[in-house]
Amino acid sequence: MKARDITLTEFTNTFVPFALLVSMALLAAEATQALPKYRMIYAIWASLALTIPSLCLFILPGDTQHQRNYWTLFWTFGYLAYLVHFYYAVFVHYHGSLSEVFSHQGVKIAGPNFLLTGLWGLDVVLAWTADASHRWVRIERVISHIVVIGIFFVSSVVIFKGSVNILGYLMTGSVLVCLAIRLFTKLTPSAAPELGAR
Amino acid sequence: MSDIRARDKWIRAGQATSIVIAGLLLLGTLSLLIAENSWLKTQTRTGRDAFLYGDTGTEIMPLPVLQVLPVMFPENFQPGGAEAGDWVQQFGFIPGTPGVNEGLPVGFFVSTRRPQSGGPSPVLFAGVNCSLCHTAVIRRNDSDKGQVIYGMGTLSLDFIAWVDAFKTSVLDEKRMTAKSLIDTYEREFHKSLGIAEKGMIAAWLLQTRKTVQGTLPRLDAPYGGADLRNAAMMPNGPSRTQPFRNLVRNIMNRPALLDHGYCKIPALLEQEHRDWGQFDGSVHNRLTRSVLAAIAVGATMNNLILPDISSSVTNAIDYTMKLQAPKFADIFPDAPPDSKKAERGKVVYMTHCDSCHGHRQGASDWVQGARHDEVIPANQIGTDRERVSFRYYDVLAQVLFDHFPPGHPLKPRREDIRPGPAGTTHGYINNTLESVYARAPYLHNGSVNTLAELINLKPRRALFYRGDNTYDPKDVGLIAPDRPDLKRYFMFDTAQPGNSYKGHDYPWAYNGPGWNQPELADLIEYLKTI
Ligand code: HEC
Ligand code: HEC
Repeated sequence: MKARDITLTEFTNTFVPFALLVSMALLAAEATQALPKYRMIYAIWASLALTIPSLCLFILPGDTQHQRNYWTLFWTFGYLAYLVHFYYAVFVHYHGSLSEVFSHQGVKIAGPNFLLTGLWGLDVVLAWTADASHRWVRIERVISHIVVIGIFFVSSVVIFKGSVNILGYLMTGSVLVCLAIRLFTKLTPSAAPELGAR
Repeated sequence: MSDIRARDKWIRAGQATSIVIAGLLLLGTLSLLIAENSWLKTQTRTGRDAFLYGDTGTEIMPLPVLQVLPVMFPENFQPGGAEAGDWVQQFGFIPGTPGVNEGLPVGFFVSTRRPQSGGPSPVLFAGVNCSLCHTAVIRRNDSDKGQVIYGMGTLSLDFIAWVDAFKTSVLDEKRMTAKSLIDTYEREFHKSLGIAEKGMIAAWLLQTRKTVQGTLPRLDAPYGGADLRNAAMMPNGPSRTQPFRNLVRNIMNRPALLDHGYCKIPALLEQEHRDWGQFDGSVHNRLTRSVLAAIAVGATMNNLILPDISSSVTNAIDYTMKLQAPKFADIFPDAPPDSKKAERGKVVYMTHCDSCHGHRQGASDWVQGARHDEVIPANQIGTDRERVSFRYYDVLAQVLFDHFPPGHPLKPRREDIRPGPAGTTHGYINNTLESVYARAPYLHNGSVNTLAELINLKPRRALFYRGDNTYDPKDVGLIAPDRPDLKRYFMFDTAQPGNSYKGHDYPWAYNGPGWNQPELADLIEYLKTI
């Protein structure tokens, strides 16, 4: 199953936050002391904020078209905001030089970041094109969510300190609550559909 | 039923509108980003070009603002009255060349970057770089056009007074508005500004005024008008600045109220012969010295790592490595050194001076003295102590070091700044004296006008006037009158704190034991040749 018959309401509720958050991220940096650096930082905040709803929708039980559409839209807009971050990080901050990225961040950080960029991008494309009833799509989807959650957790809770932690804790809390709800519903008679059905 | 349909219609209309508005905002933001990229025009300069025109991350104000300030605020930019000349003359800048570098005085650069963040700007910004302070003109009399000597410390620039004139004008909320700046510019220069340029000028004014106002409780109001020429209020005066007061203020956020550490602007000539820089020998690595210089003038951690800015700073300092001043005999062909006396003078020099200062060998070499790099405690050499005893002197190096975030590409090595692991320096360092004629006025606080006085061939003068002083090749140094005139307004009273002319009584105190006038007369001729 993929996104279908997206309603105006669904699009409004996802596109408007996306456009506002990304514009704000790019413009707010004008008032700081280091333009590209803060564009890079604020863009990842925007991305995380947009991605949290899609993570919840993915984990929560239920599989309505509505839910699928919202998941697809937030997942996509979250990724687009992430690409803004990626652009400022790799092409501006590190001057488009892979060797600079790796020598500054180390393989342990740069490696997973590139993996995330590729995998998340692939999943966004699949979300719009491929039917999620294929087993390989389901597996890929679960993996990409685990990677996104894992990397956002490490960067927004463990490595960096400051305002970003608010978003980090919010994401962690939301994911845990949604998981709990899912497990709880699974244990009750009205069994929820398989994880990753979407 | 139709009620619900009508409501739906309204909701859909509302949704469509918000999508359009949000989309337009996003589009507007993206076009701003694209426009910004087209504003930025950077250039890599090397050699003298880097020194004269390089962007060192020290942007101050939009070029149109620099151009109209003297028109709008003549009381601050011609504090000596109209008859004392234009702002360039009154603050001792070196006039530029029409058509070159926007016709700005030497030491101003223009760039397409904003101050501090280095973000792109649609309007050109003007800033000051190393050549502003480290370039001088030697004039024999007031009608002499003079000779520009790159690397020599300015003889006339009253930088701190100019900055106060600027701040006082910025604080005038009635007369300085974005509109008045723009209108005056368009009227005076018959050019019109685009909407983005106007917007940037308005944003700059807002932010700059807020910053200056924010410093008032801590630093008090800047001076303006005739006070700018009053030594009781502006004790720094021409040819000197207070870089360490600036660092304490900008980095430690303290007022540095009692700072009297006035520093003569030194010559940057043949810098390759020096290991430790600054009068107290507190900085080792030359890149570090330049980075600190740029920070003292207003560059930031963020803009210094932009590639064009960091290469300007590096290339400017590289230019001074081998830079030589013209020979004394070439500058003053009518007053060449007396070679007989100079030969005898060399013996005096080798006996009394060489161990600390070393001597010239060949055209571009310098043999360091046995005591080169030794820091002579201030109470031993006897020159003014304020430069090495101001409050926070002992902690400033550490504060500077900590100011750079870990991993910053320009972070100094801790052992390159003192006090620190490489020792403390409560005194003045023995250093080289290439082209010593181009180091006037003498001593770290510029309190001695001529070499004749420094070596005690003549008695040192206790009170004189500075500004745009002319040069005397006979006594080798500045001609400083006893009374003020339009060009020499600053009362240099050596009895004031930070101004002492005492000390460094080598080889002998004036008229003291051993004092030998003929030998000193020989010595000064030799000094003209090094
Ligand atoms: C506002 C005037 C001013 C500007 C602009 C300026 N300097 Fe200086 N510079 C000084 C003063 C004053 C000192 C003396 C510091 C002291 O007391 O030791 C100095 C000292 C130095 C020294 C140490 C010289 C020595 O041998 O001890 C170097 C090197 C130097 N400056 C390089 C630069 C560079 C590079 C720039 C441009 C980024 C620059 N300066 C801009 C005023 C200025
Ligand atoms: C004990 C070491 C020592 C001896 C000997 C010595 N000097 Fe110096 N000299 C210094 C120091 C240290 C300074 C810096 C003092 C200051 O700026 O307060 C200095 C400053 C100077 C300056 C001023 C440099 C400037 O940029 O303003 C000149 C010129 C000079 N010395 C010439 C001489 C001559 C000529 C002799 C020999 C007659 C001599 N010195 C002997 C240590 C010495």
